[in-house]
Amino acid sequence: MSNTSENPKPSSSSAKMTLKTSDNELFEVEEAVAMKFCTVKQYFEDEKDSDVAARGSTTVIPLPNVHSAVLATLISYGKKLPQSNAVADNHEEEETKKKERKKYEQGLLKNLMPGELLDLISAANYLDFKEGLEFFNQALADHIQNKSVEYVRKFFGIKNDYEPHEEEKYREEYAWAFEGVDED
Amino acid sequence: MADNMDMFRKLSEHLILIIISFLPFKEAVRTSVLSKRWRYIWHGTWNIEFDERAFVDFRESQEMQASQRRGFIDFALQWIQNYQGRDIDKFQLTLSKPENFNGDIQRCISFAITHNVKGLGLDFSDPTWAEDNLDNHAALLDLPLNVFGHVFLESIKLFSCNFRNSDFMNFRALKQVSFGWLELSLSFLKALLKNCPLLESLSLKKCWNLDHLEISGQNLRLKSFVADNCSLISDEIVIDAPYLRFFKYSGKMAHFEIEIHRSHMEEADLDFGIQFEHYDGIGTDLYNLLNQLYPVKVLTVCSFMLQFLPLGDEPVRMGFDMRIKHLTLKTSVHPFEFIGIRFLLNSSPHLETLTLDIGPRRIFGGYRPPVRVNFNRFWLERSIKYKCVQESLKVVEAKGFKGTMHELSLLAHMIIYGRVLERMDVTVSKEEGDNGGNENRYREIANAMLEFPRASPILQISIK
Repeated sequence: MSNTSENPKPSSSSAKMTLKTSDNELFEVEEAVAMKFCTVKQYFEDEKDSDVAARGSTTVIPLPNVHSAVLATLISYGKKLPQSNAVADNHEEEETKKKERKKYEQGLLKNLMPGELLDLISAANYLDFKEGLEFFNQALADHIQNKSVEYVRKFFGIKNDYEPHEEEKYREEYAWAFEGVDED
Repeated sequence: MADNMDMFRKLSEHLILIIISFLPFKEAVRTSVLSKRWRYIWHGTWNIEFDERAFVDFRESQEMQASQRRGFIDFALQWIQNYQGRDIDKFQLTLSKPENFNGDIQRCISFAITHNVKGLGLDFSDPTWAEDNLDNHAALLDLPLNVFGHVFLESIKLFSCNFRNSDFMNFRALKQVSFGWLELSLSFLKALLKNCPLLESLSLKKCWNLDHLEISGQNLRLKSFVADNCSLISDEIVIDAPYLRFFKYSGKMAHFEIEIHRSHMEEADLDFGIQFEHYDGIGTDLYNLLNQLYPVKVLTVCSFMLQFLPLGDEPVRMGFDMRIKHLTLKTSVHPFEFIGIRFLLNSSPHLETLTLDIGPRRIFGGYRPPVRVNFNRFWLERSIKYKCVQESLKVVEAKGFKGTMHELSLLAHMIIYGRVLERMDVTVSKEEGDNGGNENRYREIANAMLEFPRASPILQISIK
């Protein structure tokens, strides 16, 4: 899997941190981006207290619940977000960045398989990556909005283990919620 | 998808609940039917919306409606009784004719407050109240006093629900305020703006008794302001909001004084559909309004503006290039609107998306075009081309297409001259026309456009 070997942006703090995924891949990430993952931030702050060693240079933060492919996407998304420590852009730069982000977001969602989306949500939750959680959850909600139960089941591979009469009963109980749905 | 592995099997119920809470309440309810595992997870959602409109059929008799309303309230009460979660994010209750449900409503509101709700919405308006006339309806319910103790409330929506102005000042943390069907005073509005330094969004719908509208204040952080069919004593609208991004106004023509900042103002939606008179100088007033909103990138205008904007001192275009990237026209594609459409196209050299929201609009019999034109040849005059159509326009959307001659010639112009046009999406109207027109007929006519010569080799035309 790819390592984030892009040139670091000349921001005020280009300290880096190393994150290790469940499949033993190492990712070198700028501190500003890594700090958006609150779990990492927490770990880092704990380490800082207990360890005198140079900031982030030797510490490798283990993420046993996150696969490299997923982390790569989350880091990529995190980089596109406005950085809290970046030098303030003028309006034009901000606009361009916003546009770029929108394009990136659209491209990202277009090629995403449902399982991958859930992996991203799961990882964003584990990392306590608020913006990522919101973005991917919203994408999911937008996609299943107004779709039938059958569609959602098929889409995520959920097996229907209800007896037909049980399902019928619940559909009737909440009949009002089933109106105006796309039956496909 | 042939995949038969449940992708949710690795996710904890807590995470599933997080996902469910992003769904609108109605969607969340449906998840209970997905499988046995999903039966009760949605019960913990912190995004709660009880809307009588899902239960009550307003075409039924009053008795039937009352009975359905009772069923709705019973459902809500039982739901909140069984609620096992902790804090909630959003609680919204929409219920008309609330006068018989006072105690039940109190219970719902108390539930929200005790669960530290961040956003509370109460809509007691009646869907049968007309929005486009001048009738006002007195609110039938008062906001219970226990709500005012919840000082950390971030967002509130009150439609047809009274409150005491002084009590409202308890809410200092509000970011979003939406009032509807209420009598408000300008002094209250001013006090509100001063009292809530975090306020980002303010929406007033069908409110009355305001002397005029004045949205200003030191350190005003307001990003979004909506004034929807409010009736003002004097038609004056003063806005001084440097952070304003979004401005939506619908109502009668008024005297506007708007101060915004070019690096924030993004979008405006202007609807004078309710205006039924025109006067000398109205064109210039409309021009001045648009001038004050100069930085907008997204603009929605109504048929009234299309008809009267070019009738001021300036019939051809704005005096400067506007930044508009997306223009939406609420139009009936009537000849009296053509010069206004031309005006806006001339003024928007960077236009990328044009949306035609086609429907019946009020066309003024007294309209006189500022220059002599042949309306039948208006869009096919080879000598008149638009920079934006030739150089920047990428998407054209036409909703409510009925295949009239004028609709065809306008869209034809885009196809024939749109050199960089990527997409044209036509959605036919579902209404029956006067002369036997119907959905299928409209679609037939739309299909004829597929044969028009295209300036853009990559243009895709879709007809729905």
